[in-house]
Amino acid sequence: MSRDVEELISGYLDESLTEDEQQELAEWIKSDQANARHFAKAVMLHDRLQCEVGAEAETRKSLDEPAVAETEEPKIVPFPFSGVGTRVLQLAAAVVLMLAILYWPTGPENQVVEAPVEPTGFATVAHVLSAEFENGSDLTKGQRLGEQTIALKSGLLRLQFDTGVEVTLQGPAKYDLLRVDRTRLTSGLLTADVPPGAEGFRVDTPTAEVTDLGTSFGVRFDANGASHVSVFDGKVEIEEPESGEKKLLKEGEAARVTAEHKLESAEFDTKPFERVWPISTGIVESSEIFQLAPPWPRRLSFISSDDHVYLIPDGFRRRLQNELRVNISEPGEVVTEDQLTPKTISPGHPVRAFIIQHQPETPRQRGEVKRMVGSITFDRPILGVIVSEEELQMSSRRFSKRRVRPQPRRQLEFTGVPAGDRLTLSKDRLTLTIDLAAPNLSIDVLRVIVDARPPLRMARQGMGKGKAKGKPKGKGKRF
Amino acid sequence: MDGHIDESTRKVTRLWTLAQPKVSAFVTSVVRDFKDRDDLVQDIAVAVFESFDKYDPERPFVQWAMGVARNQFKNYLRKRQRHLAVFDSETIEVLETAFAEVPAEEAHELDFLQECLKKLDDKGRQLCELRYQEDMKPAAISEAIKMSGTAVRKSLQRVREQLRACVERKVSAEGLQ
Repeated sequence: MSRDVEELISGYLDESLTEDEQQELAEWIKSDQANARHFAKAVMLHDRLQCEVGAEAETRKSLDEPAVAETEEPKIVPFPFSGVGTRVLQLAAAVVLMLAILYWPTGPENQVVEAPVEPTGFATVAHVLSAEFENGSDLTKGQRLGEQTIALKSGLLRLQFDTGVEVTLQGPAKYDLLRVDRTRLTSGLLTADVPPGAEGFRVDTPTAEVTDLGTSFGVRFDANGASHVSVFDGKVEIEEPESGEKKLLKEGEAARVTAEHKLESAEFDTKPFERVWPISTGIVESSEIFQLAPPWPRRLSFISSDDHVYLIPDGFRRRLQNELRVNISEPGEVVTEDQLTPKTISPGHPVRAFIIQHQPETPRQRGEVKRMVGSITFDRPILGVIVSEEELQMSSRRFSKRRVRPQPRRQLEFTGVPAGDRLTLSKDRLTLTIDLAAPNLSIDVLRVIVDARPPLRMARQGMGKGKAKGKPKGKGKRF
Repeated sequence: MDGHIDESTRKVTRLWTLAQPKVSAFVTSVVRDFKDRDDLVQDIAVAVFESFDKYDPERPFVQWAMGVARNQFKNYLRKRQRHLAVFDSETIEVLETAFAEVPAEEAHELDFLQECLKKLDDKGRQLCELRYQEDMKPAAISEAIKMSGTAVRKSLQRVREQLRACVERKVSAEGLQ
């Protein structure tokens, strides 16, 4: 039978075996633990393949045929009538509207450029938070940076390189910018997010060379002269330059090079980087109900809590290949469907996506009503919010790194009644306030699309001033 | 901020991240349908997080998670009132052990798949997309691309074999360390 075993396994995976053949395969598996392991390996490849192909094919498509509109959208597959209970998930007839990038005060849309017009440099200051710099070398949001050393005494600083790489530095730290793809951390701590296409980005320390292979990772150079690297996602290579010894690190792994130039494995610990996450993600402030999901793992469908709403970064910053439909595009309050302000964001626009998800853990009692109320403020304007099932489906294939699992969920219900949902986008577009009727055994999901163009200098742009309407009331977390 | 993410959440998240590929593959091996797998893995993850306080750290986590997976699978069959199980319970038990025993490196090795996918020829790529992205079975694929059912089945088998060989080549060339 051995000649046919591979054929049987393959047939099983493709669901093309007869019952007899299935029986035959089962007998083979049971007859020897080695057979079972062989079969297990085959299924692991098959399972992983399914996860990879979606993402891979999507990328390739957009590279081959950029900027073709609707026909490029992935096929919409209705949710299965599955999951908890008998909830039938409707594909909502999505109200589709549009909105252009109105907040841009100075010019027509085609003036939208990714990098500010200042001629020099290869990076831009994306955000500055409570930062103090040494010898008065203050940096401000929107400032262009070239080859230079940043000496941060305290606070947090986010940089955006022209390749799309984002680095968040936590003071006290010293960081040399050498080239767009080469940097050096001589003290302190940083995290880096390297989008596809910018692989090879380097963060060296006095004892280690850290090369990104497409990923999100943290580097720390401590006072004892040791370099620490933790990988949150993807892969990173760490090299001890004297011996040339290298280590490939993957998601959930960590390593260090000691002051004695010894490269060794270390326990994966994200704690030192926790202060950096909100700002590296672009969050300025949020109410207590919001929790920022850590940058791993990618499959977040299990994140549930009765008392919290999770904010989950949804893939890397990217430039839209096709137009993107959003359901809410204008500042103001939405309580009824006719208040939706649909719009299409044009291809070419750099954006970042976030998922806001609420999934209760415990079923609610009959008649019990619970509402999730809170605000979240981003450091860049919100271009749109996606709330309808159809647009959520279409956009999930575009943003999420991994395939998004179909799950029982409920699109928001803007019925205008007390039991309905309410969303408010502040006038300055930085703050989103949610007031959701907590669902029972399903998941509330919305996707927020945030502008990812590097900021211009405040003076020219006149943004970020004035009080945001709908700022969180009461206790909030400021980052 | 994340003073909110407490120690045990952090721990279970890390352990689950490492165990998840195996659990997911185990589920695929017993339900096959990817949508069913997605639903089920989600339930399992929730159960793992909820009952983490019952996990005995002396035991391998994967083994424990597989036990949770088996229970959830049983619940699932009951709840769905659908005959999802293809294999008998004895086979499922054998598989549970087999997946738990797959060394962690082997799951890691599959990281090379992404690169290997790029090496497929057009036909292989197309088959992969139809099968894995569009979730089509050989019969439907054969209709879509005017190839006989047998040829599609054989080609899919060959594509997976090619990918396996490519992954193994890369592992021996580049190593996993």
